[in-house]
Amino acid sequence: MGAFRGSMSYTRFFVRGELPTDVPPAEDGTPRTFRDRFVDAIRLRAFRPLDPNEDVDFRAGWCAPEQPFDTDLAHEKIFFGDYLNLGFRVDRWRIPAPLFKASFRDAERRFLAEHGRDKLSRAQKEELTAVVTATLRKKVVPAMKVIDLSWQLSAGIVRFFHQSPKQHELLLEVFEKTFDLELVQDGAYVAALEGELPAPVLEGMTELEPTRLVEAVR
Amino acid sequence: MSAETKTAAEAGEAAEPMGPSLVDRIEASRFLGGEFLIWLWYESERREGAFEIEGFGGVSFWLEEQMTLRAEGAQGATASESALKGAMPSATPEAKEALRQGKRPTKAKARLERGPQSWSFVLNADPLTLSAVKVPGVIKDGTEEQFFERMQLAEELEGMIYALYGEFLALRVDPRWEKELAPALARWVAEDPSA
Repeated sequence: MGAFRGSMSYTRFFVRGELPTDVPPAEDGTPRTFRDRFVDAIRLRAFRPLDPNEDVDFRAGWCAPEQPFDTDLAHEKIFFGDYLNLGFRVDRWRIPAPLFKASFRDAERRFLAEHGRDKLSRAQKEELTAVVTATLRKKVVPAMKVIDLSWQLSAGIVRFFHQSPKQHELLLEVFEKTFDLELVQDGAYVAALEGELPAPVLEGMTELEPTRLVEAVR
Repeated sequence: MSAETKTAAEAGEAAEPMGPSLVDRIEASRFLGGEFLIWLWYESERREGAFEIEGFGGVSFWLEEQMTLRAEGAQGATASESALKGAMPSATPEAKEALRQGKRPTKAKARLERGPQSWSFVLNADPLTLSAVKVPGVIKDGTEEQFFERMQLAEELEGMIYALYGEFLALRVDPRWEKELAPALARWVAEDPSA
């Protein structure tokens, strides 16, 4: 259900801000455009796999479209004419609850036996949770999600092929950090604004009350 | 609504800056997605599916297969929901009864045909989005050509749907809405399809 195959479910976002025009040339004097700058920025925020030794629950970053393991991003992989296409990869640690509970109880028993205690303090519980979590993260594979993103550059429209508000929130953060441009989500008012409707319609929209379809009959 | 797109720069210049004002406008207009769905439902019956869309010409539009209507309770929680399925769920007595109970459509599956081309999709009311879009048959070979064709067909669908949305909004802000159209809609809601 993405940009390249199958049915398409997406949310439109509109880009706020201009595509960069003042891109300095390369060291050898070769002129550069916003596309070169974007490739540099995307590579900086390319996806990096989760490390079980890091204290993070998830990580999001860019990958090649339809290629979640390809994070060596270059012009020819992401620019399709007027479109910039990317994969938005999010990996998250998911430790099955029964596994965690069993491992924690086991670790708790050993700790209490070693230290001659009856129960854990709150601080000890938190510390043990962190230790057990880190241990289990070395045994499980993170859950991976990859979402297509297609940016129609001349129109300033980004189509993000997922409709979950949580994913949108994550996208906004990563997109804005990557491109230094804001995104505004499509909706009833924004669609009218972007559709160049006359000002009286835009003004009138926000002063409307919902139509009463039932009371009017009575 | 214009079928043409505009640059991000033009969009930025034409739009208001982000801030409470734009957020307030967005929140104040959210219910219009559901009313747009109702209007499309009503018009597709009244016009027997035949629409003339500026910039695109004559098209056929109808609702089919599934529709969800919901009544909101306190603080936006769902008070009750009707999920209707069938060949034409919008033509069933249950659909009108749901409207009479104060439920509003939250999503509906639809089909739009223009000449030999046919799109099927789900139109979601809040936020106003398209999902499960199936575009007319595309060329099979060449990943890049296939992508461009899929995007062109998706953009064409967007153009048509948002042109209809523009037509709806122009009517909705017109004083005639309260005087003529709202009562006509109310009479339509009150009709019993089984009678």
